[in-house]
Parts: sequence; structure tokens; C-alpha cells
Amino acid sequence: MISQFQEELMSRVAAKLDIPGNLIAGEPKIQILGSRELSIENHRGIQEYGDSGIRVSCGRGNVYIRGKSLTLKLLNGSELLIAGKIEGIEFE
Amino acid sequence: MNKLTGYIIGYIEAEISGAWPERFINLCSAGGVELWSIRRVSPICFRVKMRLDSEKRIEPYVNASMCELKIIRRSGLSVTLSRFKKRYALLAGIFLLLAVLFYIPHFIWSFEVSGNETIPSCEILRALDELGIGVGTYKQDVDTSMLKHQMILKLPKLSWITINFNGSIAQVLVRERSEKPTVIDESAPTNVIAGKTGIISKIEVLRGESKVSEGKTVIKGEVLVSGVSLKKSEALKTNEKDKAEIVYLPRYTHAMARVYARTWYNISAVSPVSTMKKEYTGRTVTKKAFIFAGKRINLYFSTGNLFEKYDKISTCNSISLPKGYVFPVSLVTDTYREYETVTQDTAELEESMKEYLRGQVSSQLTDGRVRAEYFTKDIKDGVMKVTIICECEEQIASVVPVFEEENNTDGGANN
Repeated sequence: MISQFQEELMSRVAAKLDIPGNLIAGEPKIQILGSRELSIENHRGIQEYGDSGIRVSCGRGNVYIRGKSLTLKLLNGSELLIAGKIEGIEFE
Repeated sequence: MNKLTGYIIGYIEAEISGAWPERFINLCSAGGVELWSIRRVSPICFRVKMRLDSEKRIEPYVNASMCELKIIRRSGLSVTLSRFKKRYALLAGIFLLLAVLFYIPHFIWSFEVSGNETIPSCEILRALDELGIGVGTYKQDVDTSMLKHQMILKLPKLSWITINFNGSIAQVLVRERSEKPTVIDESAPTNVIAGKTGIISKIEVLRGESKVSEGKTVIKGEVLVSGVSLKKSEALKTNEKDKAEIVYLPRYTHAMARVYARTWYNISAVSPVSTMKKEYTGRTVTKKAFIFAGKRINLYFSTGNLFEKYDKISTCNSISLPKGYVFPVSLVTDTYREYETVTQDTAELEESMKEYLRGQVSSQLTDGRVRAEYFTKDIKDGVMKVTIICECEEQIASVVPVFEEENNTDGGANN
């Protein structure tokens, strides 16, 4: 388990060296296609799953996706794909 | 995971219900088990899809998340195929079909003959059949080089033959021997004589000395154009100084001419008056059969005689594809037409005899035409005699060598 300090340090190193953050610091990579599909790489699991909101645990916090008729199209060890009518993304 | 890939790999659709089904999902994700189409069915129940082989791997996660797993359905190619495990006949049938499909193209099922001009295709195919190459022959058994020699021995008119295979069609390519042209020996001295007796109507002399003119009557064998002409030579001096002898020396040439003459034919034919002829009653019976690669399968049961007297006409229809490929399956239709023999009418008999006589005259004419014909009929003691008297105009010149006829020709050398 890496400490918060170490995570912060790696994040800054990645930024300075122009290395993608998700590779070094374990930051999640979120890709959104229009407002109907969203993929998150580097997640740590699902904390809450509902029709109108999905809370995903990522390295340094959670990501809450708010919308309507949300479904998890795909979930595997490193990536998850959410489909539905996405209304908002909140970082917690 | 798209639908097609999912089907090929195979998947399970299951329901996870419990207090915290999200934990199950997280445990699967961390454990490397791929899930998709995750939908919430009720506040405590999720429906998920996962690979077929994940079924055993998720057991500890189900227990750890204190949930219940219920398999809704299993789907996929392997699931569908396992349904056929017990259906031995179907599997055997599919296997047999594949074996046949693989096996059939190795045999010849159809022939195409090309390159033949005077030899009929059926004669070539019959010769091939006698050598063991027919419908149903294994392609590898055909030895093209040996075949060429054997076929040329069988059909001397062929100069070359080969077989190419286009799938199951054997394309037989042939080349025929070109006939040696007959060379007329124009150095040999010949006479033109009359082939038939007649009155000369036209004479065209190409070479030689004409002995007849238009309007003259000639008999068969008479010389019309002579190839021997006498040339007055110079007077030869003899020992006796005062007497000079005039000697005629023969000059030989290859006489050629076209001589047309009026000729007459008088031919008779006899026939009994009460002759029988065939008349169809109109009753017919049709029977069909299948022929597959030479084997006949009758589509009827009775094979006994139908009528007392009948004509059998067989027509054979083969199934063929638009490109001309003919399947070795054909439907044969035999039509039996009943007839009875009835006495022929006298007038009909006379007409048929006249036709016969006309045919006889035509066959004897050489490069000529009939100018007039006249028939006589005589019925006596139940026998009809029909005579044709025919005036024709035809070519009567016939070329013969001089020296074989030395005794008969005039204008021989004077020694």
C-alpha cells in the first residue's frame, strides 16, 4: 500500500516528466463518449451501483457518475464501461 | 464483448442477490473475472453475464460476498453443439454429407468434347468408355499419355487427344488427321470417254482433241476427247534419196473436259398390291425412370408387355446448370405408342413406289438434273408394277488412262 505522500510525489514526477499519470501514479483515466458512454481505467471497484448513480472507487478518491438508466456494460480488473444517459461526473 | 464474440466463446447469464452485490462485482473485477451487461434488477439483485469458464472461479466470491448466485441461462457455440452430443444420426449424417462433398469432385461426372469435325462426339466417348474412362471414373486413374496412344490406335482419324479436368467435367480435346489431298497426275496421258449413252448437249474441252460435237449421239465407252494427237513430223530422209516419207509422230496429253448430255432412264419397281402399313391407334403409355451415373432406377412397377405391337420412344432429360455443367442424373421417359398394321391404299402404294423410283434415278445421276419424268402403272395378278421413264441432263465425261486402253483407242501411233 502506498501512502498518500508517495502518491502525491509520483503524481508530480509524472507531470514534470510528461509521463501519463495513470501509468505512474495510478490515477484513473476517464473517457467519455458523448453523454452516453463512459469508461474508467485504473479503478479500484464499485462502491455504489444504482440506476441514477454509480460510485467508483479510484486511487485517490471516488468518482460519482450521475445520470439516468445507468448500466455497467463491462467490468474487469482494470477497466469499467458505464452506459446510459450521463448527466454529471463528480470527484469526491 | 460484442454479441458474436460472446456467442462463440460462450457465456452465462446469472443473477446475484444479497445484501451487498456490489462486493461480488468488485471481487470478480479484482480476481480477473470479466463481467458485462451488469444491470440492477431490484435493490438487492443484479443480473450479470460472464464467460462460461468463469462459473467455477466465482464460487469463492459468491461465498465471500454472502450472496446467492442463480444461473438464468447458458449460451454459446459449445452449449449449442453439446445439444447434438446425443444425436448420433444427425452427426453421422453431417459427417457423411461432408465426406460425399469431399469425395465427389475426385470423379468424372460429365464430358465435353471439342475439336472434332468429322468424327461424332458419341464415337469418341464410346471409345473412351471402352478404355475404361466414363462417368464415375476416378480422375487419378486417367493416364493421359497412355490414353493418347490407345485412342489413336482405336480411332485412326485422330491425330491428337488430351483430357483436361475442370472440377468434375472432363474436357476432351481432339485434333483430327487431315486427309492427304488426291493429286491428279497431270503428266499421265488420258482420254475422256462417255460414262453413259446419250446425246451431247454441251461440250467444254479443257485439254485434248475433241472427237465429238453437240448434237452427236454417243454410246458408253466412246472417246469424246482424245489425249493422243498426231503431229506431222519433218520428212525424214531415207537412204533412197528421192523418196521422202512423211511420218506422223504421236503427241500425248492429259485430256480433260466437261461433257453434258441428255440421258434416259427406264427403271421399274414391283410390289404386291395388298401391302400392310403401320397406323397408330392413338393409345400411348408413358413410363419414367431415373438414371444415375449409369444405374437405372425404374419409377414404375409393371414391366410386362403393354400392347401387342408398339413403338418405343425414349427421351432423356438431364439436369444442368446454366454454365452448361450437366449432372449425371437424368430422367428417362419411355413413350409406348400402339399401332396396328392395315392394308395400304392403292393410291398411297403407287405414290410411295414413285418416290422410290425418283430416288433411284437421283442416286444414279452425276452432276445433273431431271428434265422430264413419265410414269406407267400396271396391275396384274395382284402385283403392281410402276415404271419411270426419265429424261435427264448430266455430266457424262469420264477420264481414263491412254495406255490401258491402247487396243480400243483410235489415233494410235503409226510406226
